[in-house]
Amino acid sequence: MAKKRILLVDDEHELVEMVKMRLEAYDYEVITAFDGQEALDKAKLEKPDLIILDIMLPKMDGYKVCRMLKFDEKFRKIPIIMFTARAQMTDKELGEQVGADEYIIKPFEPEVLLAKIKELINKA
Amino acid sequence: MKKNREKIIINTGFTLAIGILLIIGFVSYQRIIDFTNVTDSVSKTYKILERLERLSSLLKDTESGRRGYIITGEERFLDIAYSGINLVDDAVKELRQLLSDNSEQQKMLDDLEPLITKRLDLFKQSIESQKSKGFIASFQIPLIDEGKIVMDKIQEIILEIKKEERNLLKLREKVSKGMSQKTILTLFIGSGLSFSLLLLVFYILKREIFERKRTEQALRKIKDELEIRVDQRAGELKKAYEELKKAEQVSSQLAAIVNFSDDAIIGNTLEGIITSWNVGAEKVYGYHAEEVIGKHISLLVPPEFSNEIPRIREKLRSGESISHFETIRTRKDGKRICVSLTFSPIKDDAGAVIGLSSIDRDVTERKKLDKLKDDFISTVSHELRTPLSITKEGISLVLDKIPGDINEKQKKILTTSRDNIDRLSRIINELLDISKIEEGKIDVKRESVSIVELIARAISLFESKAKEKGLALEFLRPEKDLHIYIDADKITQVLTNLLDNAIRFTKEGVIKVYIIDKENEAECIVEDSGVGISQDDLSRVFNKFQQFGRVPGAGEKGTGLGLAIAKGIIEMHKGKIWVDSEFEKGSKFGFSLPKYTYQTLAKECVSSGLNNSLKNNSKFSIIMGSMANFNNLVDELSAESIRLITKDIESIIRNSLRRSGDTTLKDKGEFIVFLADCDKENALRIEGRLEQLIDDYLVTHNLSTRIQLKFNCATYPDDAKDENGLLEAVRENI
Repeated sequence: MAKKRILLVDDEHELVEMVKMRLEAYDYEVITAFDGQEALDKAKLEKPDLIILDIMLPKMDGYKVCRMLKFDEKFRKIPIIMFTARAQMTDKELGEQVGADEYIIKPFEPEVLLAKIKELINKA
Repeated sequence: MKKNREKIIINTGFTLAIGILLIIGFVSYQRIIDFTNVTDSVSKTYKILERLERLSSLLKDTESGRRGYIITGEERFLDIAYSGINLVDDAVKELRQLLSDNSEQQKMLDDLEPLITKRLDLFKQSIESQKSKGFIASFQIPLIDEGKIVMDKIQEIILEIKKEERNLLKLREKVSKGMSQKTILTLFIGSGLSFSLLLLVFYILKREIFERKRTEQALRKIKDELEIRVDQRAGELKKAYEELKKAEQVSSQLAAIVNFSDDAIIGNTLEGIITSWNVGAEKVYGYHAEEVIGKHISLLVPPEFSNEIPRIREKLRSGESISHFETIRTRKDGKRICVSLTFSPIKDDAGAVIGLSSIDRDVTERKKLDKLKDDFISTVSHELRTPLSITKEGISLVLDKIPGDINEKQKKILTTSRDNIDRLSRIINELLDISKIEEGKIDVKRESVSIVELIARAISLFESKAKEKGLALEFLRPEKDLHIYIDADKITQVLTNLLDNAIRFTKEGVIKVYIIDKENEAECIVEDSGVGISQDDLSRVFNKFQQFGRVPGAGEKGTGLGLAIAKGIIEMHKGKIWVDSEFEKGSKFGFSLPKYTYQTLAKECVSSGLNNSLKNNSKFSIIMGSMANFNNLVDELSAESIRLITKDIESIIRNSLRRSGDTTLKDKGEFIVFLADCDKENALRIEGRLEQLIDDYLVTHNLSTRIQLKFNCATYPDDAKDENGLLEAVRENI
């Protein structure tokens, strides 16, 4: 079975590197992007099985990326995990409004992240 | 009136009594005179009778004398006869005198007198003849017997006169007897009458005197009381005067405060005409008092906020106050400012609202600062979390041996580091929470939740932790499920905190959780057998940054904010939180949550929605969905399937609502959706969408024949101006 492909989007390079390392250790293929525009482009180009999307991104914020993908017939099926350092209720609600499937607050528990990825990919 | 009548009675009584007595006197006098007359007549009659008797006996004596002389011829008899004759005349004279008032008797006497004279003449004749002719001649006369005839006639008349007089006597005695009886009767009645009258008068007088005495006493009492009251009143007046003086001082102080306050303090009539304007108002709005007094308050209100005014007025008219209502106003120079308004009704002595006062604070600067602070907190939180997450992920990677193997010592050190990173991130979270709670920026989103299930779920999260420490974690689950309207996420946070504390501060023993179902509220208790809290510290338990009974050594440490947050959350639910504890024996934390009925909650939701729309100058709509035949449904379907259907419909509604401000409320067969900042057109669109979605659901589940869900919507201010009106409007067509 082919490896599941995850698009990991965050402007913090070190974090991206480390999460990538973990995901690869758990046998996922990881594509990375560091701003909103790049994330949207790569999502459309690579058609990943799941997207981990930070909210505060340069060029275009995570909500907008999420909304554009969820409102596009071709990509709406791709599960999206919103990834944010702002543990505010409004963020969670906004995430749900734009159609995000899950929501993870930084700093995160690695097990929780992995469990959610697994659950969403299996569901899809 | 009564007095006058009594006076009249007394006077009349006296006069009458005296009159009656006079009459009695007069009558008695009359009677005595009459009586004397009668008595006189009676004695006269007796006299007459006696004279008649005497006359008769004189005549007899004369006869006997004559006879004696004739028979014996002795002169001695003649003397007797003549002395009788002489006396007869006198007797007749006397009789005439006595009978002078009786003409009848007088006549009789007239008849009698010649007879007597004749008799006496005959008698003298007889004696003379005796003397001259001798015994035979004189003897002849009586033999002729003329004398005897005369004598008989005389006797006859005398008898008649006697008879008449006796009759008269009888009559007079009778009259006299009747007269004395009448006199006695008159005396008796008159005396009785006057005596009664006098008694009556006496009684009335006595009563009058008694009443006067009583009145006098009452008057005296009133006078005494009056004096006391006057004294009291004087004291009160003095006190009032002093108070007035004090009040004047206070009032001038207040006037000074009002005048020199930095806040605008404005007085309005109920119609909105400005009546007072302090120096603060000049500073805030830039108008001088003389420019605005007498003008309408709408001068300060930007046109798009103009519909605030009537609603504010309505609220105040009912006696309510409005505090810290934030809105926008226009200054004289056209600049818009953010103001926080506090309105109070001005009441007259009778308590009627006659105007309103507002204290307006320019919060433009504060708003800017608030925004800055919010941005700062959110930035700081983000900026702190990012390095923390990188560090944590780094450590986690190493601990998970992804980059390569590590030894036990290294693992221990890294575990400690990771725990402290977690602690740091908890502190950040809780600081954010507490700052939001303190600013009142968190909304309670109430929904009907089974508190039993909620507790059970919270406990399940701690089961492994308790097991690790060898503690028993017990939920004394009540038999009956209990649904209350709460914000499930927030109450879970409170429970998590209490359970976390209980486990952390208990070395051995049991942690018990139970519910007390009261009439108006549900209490939830978390009881442990841990270290407890000393009496001194108990009062500070819910303060910020208070930590007690720190456990030495490794392990999760608290932040000192958990209980302050718990208190904040419970108070947002209008509940109470408390603690009972005995040092080294254990602690008992409890909180109560008021049970809202669907109705009160619906009203509260509408009310808070209206307040928000007033604040934001936006419209507010509610949509109601109601199962027309819910009661029949209860009979047809099982409780469980109704619960599932309701839950499904609720989640359909929830999912179709895109915005965070929209909330829903459900009760037996009824759903209400509260749409902030939503006009009628939008509400109708949402209503249509909900109807379609639920219809689809009912059709797919073969329920469309059984369940008829009807919808209606109402919008503020289009359909109604207050909470009750809006709820009525939305129910109207269902």
